[in-house]
Amino acid sequence: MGIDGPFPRTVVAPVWGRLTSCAAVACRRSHGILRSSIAFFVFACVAACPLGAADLKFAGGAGVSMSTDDRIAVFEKWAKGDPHNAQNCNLLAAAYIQKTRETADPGYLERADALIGRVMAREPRNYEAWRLRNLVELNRHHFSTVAEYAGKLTAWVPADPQNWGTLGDALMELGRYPEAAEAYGKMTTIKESLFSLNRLAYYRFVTGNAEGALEAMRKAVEAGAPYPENKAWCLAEIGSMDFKLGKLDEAERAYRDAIAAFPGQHQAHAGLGAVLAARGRASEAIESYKRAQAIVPLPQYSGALAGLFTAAGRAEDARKQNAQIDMIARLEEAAGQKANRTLALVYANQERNLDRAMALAEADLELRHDIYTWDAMSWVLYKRGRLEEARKASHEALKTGAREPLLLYHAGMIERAAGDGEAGRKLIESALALNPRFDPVQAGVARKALGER
Amino acid sequence: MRSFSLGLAVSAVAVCTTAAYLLTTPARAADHRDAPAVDGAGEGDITDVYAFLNPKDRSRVVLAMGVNPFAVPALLQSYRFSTGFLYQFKIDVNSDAKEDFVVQVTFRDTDAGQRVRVRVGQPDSTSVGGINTLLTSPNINVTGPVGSVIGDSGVQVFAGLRDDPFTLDGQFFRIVAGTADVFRDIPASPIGPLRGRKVGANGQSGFDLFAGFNASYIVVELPIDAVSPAFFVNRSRIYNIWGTVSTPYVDESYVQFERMGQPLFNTVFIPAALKDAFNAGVPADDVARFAGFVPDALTTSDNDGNGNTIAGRAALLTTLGLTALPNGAPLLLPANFGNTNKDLLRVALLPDVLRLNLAADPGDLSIGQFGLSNGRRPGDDVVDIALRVLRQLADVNFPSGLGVPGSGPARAGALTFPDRRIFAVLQGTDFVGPDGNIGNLDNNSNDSPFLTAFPYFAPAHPRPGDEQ
Repeated sequence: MGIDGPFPRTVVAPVWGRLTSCAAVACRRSHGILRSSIAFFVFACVAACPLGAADLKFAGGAGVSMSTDDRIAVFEKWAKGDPHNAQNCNLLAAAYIQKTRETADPGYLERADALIGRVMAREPRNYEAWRLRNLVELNRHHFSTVAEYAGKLTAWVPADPQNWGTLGDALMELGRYPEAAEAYGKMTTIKESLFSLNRLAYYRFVTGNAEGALEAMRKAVEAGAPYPENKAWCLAEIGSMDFKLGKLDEAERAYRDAIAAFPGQHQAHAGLGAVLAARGRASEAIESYKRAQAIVPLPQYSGALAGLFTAAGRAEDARKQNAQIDMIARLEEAAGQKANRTLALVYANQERNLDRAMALAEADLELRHDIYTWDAMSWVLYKRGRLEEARKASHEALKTGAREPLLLYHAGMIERAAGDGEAGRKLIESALALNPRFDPVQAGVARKALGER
Repeated sequence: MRSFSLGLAVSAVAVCTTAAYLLTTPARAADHRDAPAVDGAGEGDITDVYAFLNPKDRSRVVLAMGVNPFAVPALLQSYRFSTGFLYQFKIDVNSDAKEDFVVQVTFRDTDAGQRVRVRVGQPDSTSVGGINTLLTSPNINVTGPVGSVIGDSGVQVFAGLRDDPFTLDGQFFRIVAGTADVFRDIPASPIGPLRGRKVGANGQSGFDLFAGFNASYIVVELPIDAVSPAFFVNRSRIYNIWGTVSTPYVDESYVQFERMGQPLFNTVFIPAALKDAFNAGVPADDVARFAGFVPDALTTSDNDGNGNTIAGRAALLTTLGLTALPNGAPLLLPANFGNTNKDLLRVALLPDVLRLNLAADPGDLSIGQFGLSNGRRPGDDVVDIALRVLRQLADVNFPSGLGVPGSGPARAGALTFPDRRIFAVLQGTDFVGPDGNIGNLDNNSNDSPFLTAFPYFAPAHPRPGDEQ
């Protein structure tokens, strides 16, 4: 028997009955197209399924789009109507996971987890629930667990591309790049789609093949996806890659396309803010970052805004942003969240709360060992003056050859401080060569370090 | 301030990981390329399902299913059945919308070409629904080469390319998209010009989108008591029948990713974002899930104060000149049709199965008796049947102030103007074929004549330059 057995039986037993209220209709054709009475058979439980007020607005069939909230509303109705139906619960859980992606609100992830738990309690070998469970773990950054589960799931159903994807995702985070490449390769071989191509693109960028990454990400966009956010995310990634390569026009276009595709794409609003800041349009950049922040108040958005406000002489606004960063940090601490490399970087850039930054970076490094976590660790160590450790961490961050100006800049500043001025200069120059304005604040520091104005 | 714990924010990598069964792309009728999960997997993409009695022997039932939509004659050799998929006809004989016996069809490759294997029998009780296993002790077991009629013990099987028997004017998609209003152009009407296809030199306006294309068909004919004569004792004489395609799953099982019952139902009524969920679902869940996507039916009672009844709709269509040629098909139902059940369309359409009355004459279409029609035969004009039923019965909320039936207050169960499907049904026909044939609902004006004997479906269009 399959791992999850048959879908549970429906709770409503349909009963056919003859509808006798239909009127007489003239018999006009010998083959009996229209009989003297049209007698439909009644599916009795139809009456027990009244329309939801919003149902028919989606009933356009082809071409009618549904937002994630629309889908959640539909699947919640299904799950409420038949809570023991595993498919209903899994569909709703998948929609909640998608909503988590769009809002970063962990409440949706918790709801998904509860639904999945309910299915697995009834059907311990429900495969769909298992693969969703692994997505929940991925979103929780439990990368070792994800890799373990994904390994089992790929053995269970080798032809399912998603498990190869989650396996690759976890391995990327764990810094096991060759193995990740293998997993992504299998996923792409099974099916080229937005889901496989965007991962291939990410792998290529991290390992130094920026042009190949852009090519794959463009193909991912062309492949399309069920949720507008999926396509928008890929467009924002194109914007991010173009920005890192100094292609501001292309980056701006990609970010704007992402926002058009899904206005709630906060990474695109923030990315557009970075482009506008690089162009010297600070007030527009601030507005764009504020739009990102209004969607999801991530600490890096506050950090960028604080920098822009400071540069504009708006000290009070900058102070408020820093206060928000601190509040986020307190909320995380209260929630028992120990790892956050992004917050660590923000604090390191601001050269404050460095003990906390160190703890956040170290905790993240326990969860994952990818180049970005090593980079955050190196930057915090540098700010703490632990230069040799910073240097080692920085070497880890550069080992894949990613064309990441921020990583190169960090490495250059560390080498310089550690005494290798020539190596430092070359690294900083390479960062600025990729994008002379890679960061509203740090690019200026980089130029200053080289003695430029 | 929202109480985020931002450490749980989605990482830059943990993206696009939502299960891919909720994809959205434009759909095409009947069920050809109807959802993302089957787009690009043509051998698992059901075009149509048929169920009818042998016209010469009502003790025998014929089941057919097409895949590989829009198969191009120039590439005949490239279309195959999947050797990994499980194709099934599912038959419910006690009206609970769950299969009581199944016809399982699988394929394998050999040096001499593909071979088909057909198993018929009762599924294990744990193998009913969306996840199935192969019958271990089938009552019927037939094997043979693809492309030939094979058979054993009164069972006949054909698997291979045939002409695609479905007909529909592709104008349907322009109407739904809003670039056209109706199938046939109406330069002047009481509501102004209605953009449509002009009548050509041959006196016809309809253009069959599927003409000239083939599809890969599985056709199985078997005695209705094939499984066991006793099996049907005291059972309903109504068979509910649907087709499914499943892909290998866990522990030797198969999971369903495609299904079809009635023509056009998925295309017209299921939102694009839910098509994959629909295709993976089972008929037993259809009423609970999808009743809300089928509009209310008009009744004899005025539900908006503007005369919004069946009679009112019939009068409106007549006033607009849409109930007579050249601008429309005649009314299917009389103006005094006495329906009092606003769920009538839901009753007819859900669950999404073909309903075949074993007691009826094999040639009896019986529109409205069991669903939209009695089973489905290759030549039945299912498009016109649906258009004509829906234009007379689907409740529509027209803009207030028009003063026509349906222009009263908003009603939750009504289609809301300008839902483009309202335009698609106005004329009650897609005008495929000569006008003189409109009204012959058992003749869909297919581009190739059907056969009168097994396998019933017309031979495949040959490669250009080859003889038929």
